[in-house]
Amino acid sequence: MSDSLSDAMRDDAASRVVLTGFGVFSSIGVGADEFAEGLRAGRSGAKPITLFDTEGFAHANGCEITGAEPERWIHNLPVETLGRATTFSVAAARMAVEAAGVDLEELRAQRGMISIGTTDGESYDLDQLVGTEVASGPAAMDPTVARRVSPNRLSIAAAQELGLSNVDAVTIATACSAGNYAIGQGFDAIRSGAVDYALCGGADAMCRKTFTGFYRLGTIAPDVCRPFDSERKGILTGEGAGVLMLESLASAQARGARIYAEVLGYGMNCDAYHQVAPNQASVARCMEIALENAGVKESEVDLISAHGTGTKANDVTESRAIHDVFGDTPPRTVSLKSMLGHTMGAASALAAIACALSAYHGFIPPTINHRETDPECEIDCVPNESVEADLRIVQNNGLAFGGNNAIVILGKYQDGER
Amino acid sequence: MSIFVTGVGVALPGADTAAALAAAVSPVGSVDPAAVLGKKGLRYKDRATQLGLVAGLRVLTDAGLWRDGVLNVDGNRVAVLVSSNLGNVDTACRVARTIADEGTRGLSPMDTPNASSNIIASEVAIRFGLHGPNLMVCNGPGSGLDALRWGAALLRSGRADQAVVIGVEPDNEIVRELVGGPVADGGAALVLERSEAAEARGATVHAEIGGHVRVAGPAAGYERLAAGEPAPLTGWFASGAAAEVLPAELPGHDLSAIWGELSGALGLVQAAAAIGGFAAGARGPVCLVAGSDDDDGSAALVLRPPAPAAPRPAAV
Repeated sequence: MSDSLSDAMRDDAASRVVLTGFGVFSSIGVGADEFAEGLRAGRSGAKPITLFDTEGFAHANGCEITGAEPERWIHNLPVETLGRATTFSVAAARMAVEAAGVDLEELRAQRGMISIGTTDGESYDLDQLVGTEVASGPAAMDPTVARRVSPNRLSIAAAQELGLSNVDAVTIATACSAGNYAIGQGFDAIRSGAVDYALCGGADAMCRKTFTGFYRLGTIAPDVCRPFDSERKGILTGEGAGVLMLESLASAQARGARIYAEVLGYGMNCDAYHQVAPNQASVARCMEIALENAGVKESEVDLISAHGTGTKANDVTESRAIHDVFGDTPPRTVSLKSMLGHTMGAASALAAIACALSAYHGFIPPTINHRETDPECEIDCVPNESVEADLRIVQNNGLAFGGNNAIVILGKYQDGER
Repeated sequence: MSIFVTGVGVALPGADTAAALAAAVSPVGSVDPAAVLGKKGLRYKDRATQLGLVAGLRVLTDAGLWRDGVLNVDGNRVAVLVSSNLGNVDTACRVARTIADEGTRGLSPMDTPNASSNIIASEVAIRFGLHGPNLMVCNGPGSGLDALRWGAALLRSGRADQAVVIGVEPDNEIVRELVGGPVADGGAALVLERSEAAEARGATVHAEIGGHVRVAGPAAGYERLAAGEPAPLTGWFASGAAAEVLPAELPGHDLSAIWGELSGALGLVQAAAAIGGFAAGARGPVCLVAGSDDDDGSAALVLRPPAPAAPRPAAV
């Protein structure tokens, strides 16, 4: 009756959780196949920002999405009622359902969850509204735009577009690790039997407010993002959405679905230390929580997708935390933000998809724009060129302002074995 | 495994306990965070964060988890969930306005974290040393009940031992423009705990979490929970259009009519008021409902009064 989690977690095909479809909007590719190609090729999404006026900034590159036409995946809702981030999230949700090859009518008959993480919600619209207010007064603000700024639209609109009424639709605002939180929420809900499937991920749109905030913190790179590099200068802001279809192994097997990877577990904690400075001990503890939850030993991890923002503070703290957990020879550790920029609430969702695609296709995406690894970082960041690799266990780090850490552990799925 | 409410905190104008909330008929004055928390460290925090810290201090104190400025359980195992829909929208708008008016140089770097929507939850964690799972829920009218539901899920899946669940909303010019009227300048908070953990530390039980659900409309949610609850429901809490579709024969409580728009704080304020009612002698489970047919979705949750204390065996 209640949708509470059950007391005991069952360890069988009904409670193992797998990934069977992805929706992707990124500056290096739309859809799982193009995204995988971009990751393998080490494509860069960096270019001059055109989405908002950048006059007055000495440098203004970003990883903007151009020409993606997300409206092609939106059939039922009027696109003008959706903000930029919601447009990405709704289109990615439909893409994930289609990619999973599941019949929408069947999905409607099941109990589901739609959980979307975000940092800024529709701040791009808020930028525009406030700009209008300052220039012309509040009466000039467009009511259609005003109606679409609520962040819960990110998940609810996806439910509306897909006609999924029997869903728990939530938007999670734990900033730049929110995508991993959403995946964790879906994982727990499926494992406990509370839902049959979950569409989980994250979405954000570039906006001037966030760009300016990071700029004023001195953390916007002048040209490109160079994680773990001695000469790294910070982040590039990015945008996009990643939505993952989670379902039980039993459900995926019953319908003969393609299984990209298994979600083995996750961990989350809070630094409770500082708004913007990460805490090494707490980040390390989060990795331990995730590995323990997944039942995975440190030595079994083949790849870490780092939070890897490319700022001075993050990269040193994160790589030291990795050493604390993994010892002197940590697994190869890459930063997708070198290619995608920092897509904020979408970042850990897109990274989780990248991890699954890497395990599925057998390669490690590179950390691009790399010249010389910072001796303080001491990791193999797979510079500039992707490499072929058989990846069995992949760890996806998501860290956020406020010290909100969430880490997801994925496993390659091989004929029923972990 | 049962989930108990072992702490309740209230931060509303003129009501700083569950009993005062249950008895209140109108807001009086305003919550003064500096008087509760001391002035130190409040300067760069927005109103919603300050209100969240007040509710947090009160709920942790009430639960017996915070004494004399010290947390007396393992902070690594305490989760924080905060519901607020309007939260820092004033900061976000002010930042955008500053950029438009003065250019980027007008913007203080101190504003960047404050413009991130998880600011309240992370500040609560920092102030009280709560290192467990930490999240903000900005999920529309059902947000407060969603935070409670998720807090219970974190406890059931063993990811935390205590969950501090807070719902707050600030009142200011910007949020009034957005919602079209005054906003309750405050909120409420609960501590949730697994029954075994609560009993092990001898915690006072204020209530038990019953069934809960998120559905398209309030009537459907109420009916599903009523059908699944072992004892008959004895009342409900709902606001606005949601109240109109719930059983008229049972006592109903519309707290937004008293406090103004509660938004993300609604579910928590409803729960705290229900607990105030239990303490005053109300018996039987009540249903909390948030979100009407006009909204994007609706959440509902049953709160049960604590079981009557079992007769203690005579000492031998």
